Amino acid sequence: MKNIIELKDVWKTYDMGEMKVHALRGLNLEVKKGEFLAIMGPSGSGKSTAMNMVGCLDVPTTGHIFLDGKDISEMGESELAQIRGKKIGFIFQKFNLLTSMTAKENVMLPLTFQNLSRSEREELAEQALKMVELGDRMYHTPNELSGGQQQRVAIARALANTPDVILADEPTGALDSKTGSSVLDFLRELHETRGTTIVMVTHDEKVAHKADRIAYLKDGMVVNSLDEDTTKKIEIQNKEMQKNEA
Amino acid sequence: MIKDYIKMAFENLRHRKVRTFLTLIGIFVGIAAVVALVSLAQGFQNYLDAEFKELGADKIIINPAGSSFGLNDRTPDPLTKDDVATISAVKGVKEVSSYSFQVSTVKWGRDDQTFATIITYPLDENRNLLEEITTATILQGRKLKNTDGFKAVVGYDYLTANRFSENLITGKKITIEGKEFEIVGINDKIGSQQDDESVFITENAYFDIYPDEDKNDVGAIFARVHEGEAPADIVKKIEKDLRKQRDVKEGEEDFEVTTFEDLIQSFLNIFNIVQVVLIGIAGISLVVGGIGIMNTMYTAVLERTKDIGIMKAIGAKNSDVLLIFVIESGFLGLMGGVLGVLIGAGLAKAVEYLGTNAFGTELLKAALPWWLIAGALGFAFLLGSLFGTLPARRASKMNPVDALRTE
Repeated sequence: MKNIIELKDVWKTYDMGEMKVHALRGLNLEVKKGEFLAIMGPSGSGKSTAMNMVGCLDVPTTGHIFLDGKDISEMGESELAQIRGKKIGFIFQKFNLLTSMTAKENVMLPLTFQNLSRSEREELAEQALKMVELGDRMYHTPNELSGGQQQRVAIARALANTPDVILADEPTGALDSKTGSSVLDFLRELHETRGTTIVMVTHDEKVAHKADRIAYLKDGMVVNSLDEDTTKKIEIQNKEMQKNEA
Repeated sequence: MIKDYIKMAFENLRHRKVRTFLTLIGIFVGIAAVVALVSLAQGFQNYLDAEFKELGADKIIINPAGSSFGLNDRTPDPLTKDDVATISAVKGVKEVSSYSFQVSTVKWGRDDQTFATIITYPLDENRNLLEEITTATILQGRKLKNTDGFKAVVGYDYLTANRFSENLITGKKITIEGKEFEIVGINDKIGSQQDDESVFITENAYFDIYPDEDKNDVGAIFARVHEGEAPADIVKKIEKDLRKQRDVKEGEEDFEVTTFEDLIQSFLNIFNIVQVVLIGIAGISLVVGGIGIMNTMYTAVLERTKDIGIMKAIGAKNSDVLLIFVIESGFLGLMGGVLGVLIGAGLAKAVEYLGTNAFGTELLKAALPWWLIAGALGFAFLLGSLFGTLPARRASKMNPVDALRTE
C-alpha cells in the first residue's frame, strides 16, 4: 500500500531565548493510504507538534514531510493553506467551531476557501451533516448543540471537502465516555465504509486501540512500545484529568 | 466568495452592536459635517450660477475704487454723469445706466422704523438695465414714473415681514429724512433682507431729501454690451477712455471696471477658500474616526485570534484572512458613511429651512447631487478599509498553530 504521509528525520526546535526546546528529535513516521493510525504518548512527547506537521499547519526545522509524495517542508504559508483546504480535514479536541455561525455555515466555510459556488457548498454541507445524523440541526449555532453534536458538526466540516486524510487531535478529550465512544465508533465506521485515512492523536490507551495501528511517541521520537513507567505516567495523567473534569 | 465575506462581515458587526455603533459615531460625525458643508456650498454655488444667468453675461459694472463690497464708502472720488457719458460713447456699449444711494431711517405708523437703502436711478429708456440687475419686479401697484413727486416703490419685506408691527400696502405712507412718501408699488421678493428693505424714489425727490449730494455724482454705473461683443474686451476699452476722462495714469485708477462674471468669480474664490478650510476641519474628525476603526479592528483581531486559527486550519490563505478583515472594516466605514450622508443631508435641509423661514434668505439652499452622495459613501468605505489594513495584516500573518492555541 502507498504511503500517503511520510515524515523523514523531522526535527522541530523551539527557540526559547537561552534555551532550545526540541519538540521532535528525528521523528520517522509513515501513514499508509486508507490506514487508521493512532499516535499515542504522554504530554510533552511531541504528539501535538507531530500532528501540526502532518496537518501542514507547521513546517519542520529540519527533515522532510511528504504528503501524497509531495515535499511540504519548504512550502510557503499560502501553499500550505491550499493543501490543508484540499487534502486535510481537522477534528479538534475542543471542536473549534465558529460560534457566530450555524452548523451548516461552519461546514460550508472550508468549501468557501476552495472557491466552490454557493449551491455546491450548500449541497455538500447538507450531505455531510446528514451523514453525521445532524440533518435536523443544520440551522443551530454551536451554543445550541451538545458537546457530542458539536464534535459531529466538526467531523462533518472535516469531511465536507472529501479530504485524503482526517486528522483528529484528542477527538474525545472534551466529551464524556459514552459520547466519546460514539464519536469513535463514527470515525471507525467512516474508515471502514469509505476507506478514509485517519490519523488520531490521543493519550488514552482505550481510544488508541480503536485504530488499526498505534505509533508510540516519547521525547519526540517513535518508540516500539511505551515502557511501564511511561504507561503509568499516562494513567496518572488520565486519572487527574478525569478528577479535574468531575 | 466576496459575497460570503461581506455576509460574514455584517454578521460579525451585528454581533458586536454596541462597539460597532460607537465606532460608527466617529465616522458619521465627520461625514455628516462634510456632506452638510458641501451640500450648502453647492446650493450656494447653484444660486450664484442661476443669478449669473439671470443677470446675464453681457453686463459690466463700474464702481469707484475700493468700494466693491463696502457700500457707503465714498472716500474715493465718486463717479460722475460725465463718466456715464464717456462710457456711453465707447464702441460696443449698447446702453448705460447709473444709480445713487444713501442709507437712511424709514419710519411709518406709530413706531415702526428700519435702516434701509434709499436708491434712485434715471427713469429713462435705459431703466430696464437697472431693473434687470436688481431683479426687481412689481408685485403690487406700479413702477415709478418721472412725474412722481414724493412717491416710492418699496421692497417685499414692508408688505410681509413679521418684525414690523404694521405691514404696508400701496397707498400707505412712509417718512424718510422728514419727508413723507406715498407707496405706489411693492417689489416682489429678491431674497436678502438688504434688497427686500430697499426704497426706490425719483431723482428729484432724492436730491430734495439729500440736498448735500452733488447732482453730478453717481454711486455706480452699469453698462450692457452689444450682442456678440465680449464683455472682457469692452472692459479694457472703458478703462482706457475713463482714464483719459478722469485724468489718471494706468495702474493708478480710482475706479474699477468688472464684468458680472469677474464679480461672481472673485466671490467664488473667497468662498472656495472658506469651504476648503471648513472641510479640512471636518476632515480632522474623519482621521480621528478612522483611528477609531483601527482600534476596533485591532480588538476584533485579538478577540478572534482563535477563529483566525480555525479558518487557517481549514484552508484560509493569508490573503483570505486579510480580505475578510479589510472588508469588515470597510463596511464599518461604509455604514458610518450611510448614517453620515443621512444626517448631513438632514442637517443641510434644516439649515435651508431655518434660512428660508427665520432669516428670509434664499442663499442657504441644500443641494444633494449624486456625486456628493456617491463620493461620501465611497470615501467612507475607503477610509474604513484603509484604517483596517494594518489590523487585517496582523490577522493574516498570524501563525495558525499559535492562533489555535489561544483560548
